[in-house]
Amino acid sequence: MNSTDERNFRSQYYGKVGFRRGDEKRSLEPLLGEVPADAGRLAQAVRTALQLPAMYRPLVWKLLLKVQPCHPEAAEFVTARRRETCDDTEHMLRLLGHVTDDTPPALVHWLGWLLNSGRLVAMDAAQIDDQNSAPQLQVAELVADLFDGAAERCWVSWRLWTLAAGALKLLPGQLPWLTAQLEREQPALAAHLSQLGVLSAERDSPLRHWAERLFCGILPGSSVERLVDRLVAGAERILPLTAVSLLLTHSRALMACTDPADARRLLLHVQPEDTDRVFNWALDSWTKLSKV
Amino acid sequence: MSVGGGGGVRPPSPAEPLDDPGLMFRRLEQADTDEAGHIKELFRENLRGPTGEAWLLNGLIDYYVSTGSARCLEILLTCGDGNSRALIERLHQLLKSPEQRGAGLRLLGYYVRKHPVWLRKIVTQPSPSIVKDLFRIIKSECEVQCIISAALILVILMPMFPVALVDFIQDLFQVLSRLTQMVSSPSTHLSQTHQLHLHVATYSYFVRVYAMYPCNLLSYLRQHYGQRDSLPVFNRTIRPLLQHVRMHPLLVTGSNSTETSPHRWQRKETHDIVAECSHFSLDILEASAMDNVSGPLWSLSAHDEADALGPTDVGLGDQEVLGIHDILCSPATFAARSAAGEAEGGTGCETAVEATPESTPAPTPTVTPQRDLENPPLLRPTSASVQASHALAALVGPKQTTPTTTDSTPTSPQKKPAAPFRFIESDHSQQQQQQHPFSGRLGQVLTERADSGVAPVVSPVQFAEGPPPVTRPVPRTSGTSGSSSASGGAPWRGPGTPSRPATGDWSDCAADHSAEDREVSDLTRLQPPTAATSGNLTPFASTTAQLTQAHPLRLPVTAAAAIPCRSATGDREEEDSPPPVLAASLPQSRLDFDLVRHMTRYYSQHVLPSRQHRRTSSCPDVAALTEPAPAPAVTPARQPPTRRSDTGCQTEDTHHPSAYEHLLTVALPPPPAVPHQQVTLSPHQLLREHVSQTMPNARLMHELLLYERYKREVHAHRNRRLFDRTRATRRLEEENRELKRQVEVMSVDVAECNRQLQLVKRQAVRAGEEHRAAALRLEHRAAEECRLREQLEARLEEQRRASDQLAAQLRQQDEQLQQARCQLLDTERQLAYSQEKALRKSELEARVLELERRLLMVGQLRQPVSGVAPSAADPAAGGDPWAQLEPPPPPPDEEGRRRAEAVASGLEQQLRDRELTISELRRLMEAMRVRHHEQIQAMDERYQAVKQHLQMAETRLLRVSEPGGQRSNGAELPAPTGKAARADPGTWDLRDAI
Repeated sequence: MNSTDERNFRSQYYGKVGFRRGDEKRSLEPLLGEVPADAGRLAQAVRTALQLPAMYRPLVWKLLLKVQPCHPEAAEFVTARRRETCDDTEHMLRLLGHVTDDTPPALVHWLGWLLNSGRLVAMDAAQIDDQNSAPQLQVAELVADLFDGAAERCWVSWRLWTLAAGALKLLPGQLPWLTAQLEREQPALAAHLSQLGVLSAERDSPLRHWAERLFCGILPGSSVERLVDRLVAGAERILPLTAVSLLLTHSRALMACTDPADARRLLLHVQPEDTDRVFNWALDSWTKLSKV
Repeated sequence: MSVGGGGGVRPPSPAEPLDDPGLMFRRLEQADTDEAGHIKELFRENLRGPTGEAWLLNGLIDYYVSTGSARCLEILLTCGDGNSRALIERLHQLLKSPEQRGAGLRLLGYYVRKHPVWLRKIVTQPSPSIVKDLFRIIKSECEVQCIISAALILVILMPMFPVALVDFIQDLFQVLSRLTQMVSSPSTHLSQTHQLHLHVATYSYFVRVYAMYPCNLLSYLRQHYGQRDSLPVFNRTIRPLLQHVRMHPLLVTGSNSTETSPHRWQRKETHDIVAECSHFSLDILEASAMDNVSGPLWSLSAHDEADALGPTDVGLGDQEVLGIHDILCSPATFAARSAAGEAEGGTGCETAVEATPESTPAPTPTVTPQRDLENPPLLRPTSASVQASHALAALVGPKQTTPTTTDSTPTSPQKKPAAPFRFIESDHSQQQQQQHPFSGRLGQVLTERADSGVAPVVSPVQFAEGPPPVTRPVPRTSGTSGSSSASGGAPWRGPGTPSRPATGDWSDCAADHSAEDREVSDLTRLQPPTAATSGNLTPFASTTAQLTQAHPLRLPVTAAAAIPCRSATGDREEEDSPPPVLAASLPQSRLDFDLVRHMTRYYSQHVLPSRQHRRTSSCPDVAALTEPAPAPAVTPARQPPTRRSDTGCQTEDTHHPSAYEHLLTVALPPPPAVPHQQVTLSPHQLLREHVSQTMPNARLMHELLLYERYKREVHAHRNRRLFDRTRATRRLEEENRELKRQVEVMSVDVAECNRQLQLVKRQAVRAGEEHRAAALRLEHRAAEECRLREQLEARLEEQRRASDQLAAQLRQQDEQLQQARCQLLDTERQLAYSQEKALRKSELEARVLELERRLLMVGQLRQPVSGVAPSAADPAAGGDPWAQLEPPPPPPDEEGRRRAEAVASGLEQQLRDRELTISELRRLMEAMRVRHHEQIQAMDERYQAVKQHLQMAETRLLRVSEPGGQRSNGAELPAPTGKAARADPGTWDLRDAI
């Protein structure tokens, strides 16, 4: 992008100074103004952009998540179908008795995703009752902060959960790469964690714990939004890198842990910081890796 | 001689054999009773052998016959069961021999009264038939003593074997004829005492025969006395007897054959028959002792009797009475019935006797008759029976007086006994003639005795000392000879007794016994004034007096009753009675006759109950009547005993001789003339003489006493039966009381149980209420459950509706999908068309370019030849363009060039336009493609969502419809349905296509 805008001195200046933002808005606007919008280019732009403007974020997410069609003329039809799907799902849940008027919308969306993804059929009543404490609900809360319409919230949440599910499915295959990244940064920590057995894709492993909630509650909200920006744009490796960054952040404490249980407990209950330091490191690493 | 070989078992203590019978008999008679007992036991052991020691038996009988030993008699009476045949044989021999006939009869009498088991043989055994011997004796014997004994034995035997004796019924009647003949025409050598005894025996015999076989008797009498010429004989002999019996019911209801049938006696025992026979006697003592109701109430009494004792009816009322009998079937009657059956079968009846504690009868006399007189066993009977008879007599008395009050009426049943016999004579002639055979002679006896100085009667004083219930009868002398008889009776007063005329004594006695006298007077108060004034002291006396009034025949009147009766009813008697002289003799004889009987009976049944002389207040002053009572001159030979006896002290032996001495004085005529002033003989000689004179009389008296005692035993037996019956009744009452007490206790229990039942009921009610409440609650819950179920069903229905709705949506979406596919296909077709157009356009562009190039080349070529051949057209370049391009006239070169340039620019412009159009079209096409793709993707996602919904709904439906709610996982279900499965490939195909 810098190469393309070499003539934009202000942006170059901002970039040199360290404020690598400001021109994303202008670069995004034409992309968003296209009819039909080009999703590939938009994704590319989002991936490369340092930070997405907050005002475009819902639109970008909707477009990238194919909640909103790229062609404006199809938007009406698609939105109607989306709404119908949402209503049908909720109605179905109400028929099944899993949802009442008192059920929080996040849980309704989560159950709807479970229903539409074919997971609810395999669950019994107890498991369904346990879903009101599912970690994915934090994602829905994040979405609820960003979107206004119920159908949008619902669909965005569903898309995010689908992404998280896919990431989880890919997690075991990414473990060696993750370990390699960690060894490159801190070999001692990697060895220690390997010895402790923390780096695994098991059910209660910290990595899985982080991935299924997309680091909601682990990282600050702005970091999570940016993380999701990258994720929506198709940068799936941002998740392992964020995990590595998190591990590196808590390296001291982890090194002090000799018990796998202690380490696991430590990682499961990470308190979010107010800074984007963790994600920035991950973004930098991703940028470097993507350039290479 | 040794008897050890045949003796079998011999007791060890009397080990000595009967070597010396003489010694043994001496030892038997010795004073030591223990030794005598040993000897007796020894004899018995020897007699008890299997065959019996016939020789020993004969020896014993000989010994008894010769000596009359009481102990020997005892031995003889206790044996005999084993060797009855020998005994009967020996008795037969005894009865055959004239010398030993008397002793044989005495022995037979003892046996008969004892009634052993084998006694039946003497009746039924044909070859040596004792009964035939008896008949023969009576018919042919001249000795009165034997006749009397045989008659008494027959009298005893008749009720014992009523059926067996039916075979000898003609003999029985002939015996009666003989007896009456002897009575009516006595031989001269007969003493008065013998005549008296003969009268007694004849009367007893007649009553027995009449009571047992009345129809046969009447037939016999009719046959023998029915002729006109035999009428005097009949009047003389039979008629007086007939007047002393009641009318027999069987004369009305029975016949000759029925009364001799065995069924008649089937259910009766001996004592029943005896009691029944006594009903028909008008002898008040006998009748009253046996029957408490007599006279007009006969039928009623018979019925009562049947009620009380079973069938005692004389008639053939067994069948009729059987019902009552069965109803009253009690152990007593059952025993009586079975016993009667046994008696009929020939065995003696002892069951009832054994059943009672008092059943041990007085032992058979173990002493000689002389000893009997001294120590009479007759007074031995238990006090209970005697007291019972006392009480019975006392109770019966007033009752009996009741019918007698109506005697004066002609329809009185008391006259019934005489009614069947239609005598031709009037009453007066009857009275005159009737009493001749008996009364006349008896009166003679009395007068003779009175003349002889020894009164045959006992003075009233003596009898006043007797028991109060039955006043000692005073011999009734004729009215004219009253003083003489009274004087005759006076010597009988004992010297120890106070002088009776002393009225002070009487008053004392009356004062002493005023209470008892009051009782008696209470009893007698019920009697009519005539009877009361006539001094009915006792029931017996009163009834006797009534009898004398009812039958002006001057039946035997006791002294105590007759004397006042004479005074009170003297007028009537004088009216009814025959002339005084005749009447004087007749009653006297009758009196004497009855006196003997009553005295014997009295002394056999009663003892002197009080040791003080007393006289009932109702008794008139006999002393006043017998004012000229002589001084208490007594026969010096016998000391009048001191009468200090109590009623209940019958067993006190000290009193018995005193009682007996009276009897002796009455029954035995004293030695004719033994005036005490003539005592010149030695006392032994005097005694021997006296004994020789009084022996036969004593024998007779003894026989009579034994007979009376037998009758009393029978009565006692009957009384014991009655007593047993009452005991059963008492036991029943006791049981009843006990049962009532138990009923009370049980009623208390029942009340308690009822109370508990109430409690339980209340608890049950409470429990029921609780249960009802619980049931109500459960019903409520059930209703709630039902409501819940209805809600669930409604919800299920709703879900079904929802699923239907979903299915409809699905169908709709399918249709939409089809539409979308169609659109997609359309779009693809359009796209293909557009692509084809674009291809053609590119071809056209290429051709245009080639044309341009050609045009340029042509232009360049034309420039050198400008204008040369402007009209020359290139055949290869086509007609029209060339036509347009080539100016028709060959312009000059500049103009041509301009023109060409213009055309080229126009063409270029067109080309550009076309390119623009194509690009625009491409853009449009792309936009359209994106749009439709997105729409299709949205539809697909919606379709996927609906598919999942359907799957979920189907799963839930399956779970709901499954009974038992099997929570199966979705994996097990036939998850994606056919529609979804069908949709899947299509969807993926679609995706792939997109």
